[in-house]
Amino acid sequence: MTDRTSWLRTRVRVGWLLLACGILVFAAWLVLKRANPDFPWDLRILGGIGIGIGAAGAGTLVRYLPAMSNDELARRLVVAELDERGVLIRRRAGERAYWASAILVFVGLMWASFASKGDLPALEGDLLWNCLVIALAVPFFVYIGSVIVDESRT
Amino acid sequence: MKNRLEEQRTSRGWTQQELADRAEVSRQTIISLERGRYNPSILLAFRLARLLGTQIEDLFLYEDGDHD
Repeated sequence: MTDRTSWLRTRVRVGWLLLACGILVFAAWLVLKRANPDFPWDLRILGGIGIGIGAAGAGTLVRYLPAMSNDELARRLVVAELDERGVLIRRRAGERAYWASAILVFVGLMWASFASKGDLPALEGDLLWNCLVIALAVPFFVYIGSVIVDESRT
Repeated sequence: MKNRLEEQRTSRGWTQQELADRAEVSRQTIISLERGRYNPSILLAFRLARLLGTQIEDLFLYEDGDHD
């Protein structure tokens, strides 16, 4: 077995595993929903998590499974993902996104601390939702922006 | 860091894509290397030197000040 085949097989296994976990979590949601409709918390979050995990697995399989029977596609995929310059660019982007995320979480923690003393509005309702959206979106855009800039510079 | 990658590649009549395929890197990486905008890892440098039938010191020219 070549390194390339082994690398691909690992990804396909991860894809199947994620898909199976997603289906299990989703099935657990269906069973719990039928068994106990008066559950103390909203069970739909379980269904949502199941769909999310399953979709990640399906996406992985769609990307890597066709390459198992197509050598040229496998070669291109491996080069695209393991090319050292590409890996370096993605790693740098990941570091920048991490710091953006850490700064936002720090600001959120400070806000929550001040809010508990009444010095700032409490993080709840729409304000909390908007803050969480920002905490999710900003690191994503930092990552994408960093990849674009480094792709053009290096 | 300066290099003689383009010179060595063209002397063998290879395109950037052919060299990229042989070295198992992207064509963009070869372009960046030839323009001197990207310095390769030691492993890639050895691989390229071996593919082009030359010594690493003849392919990549380290000079004082090439820190990054």
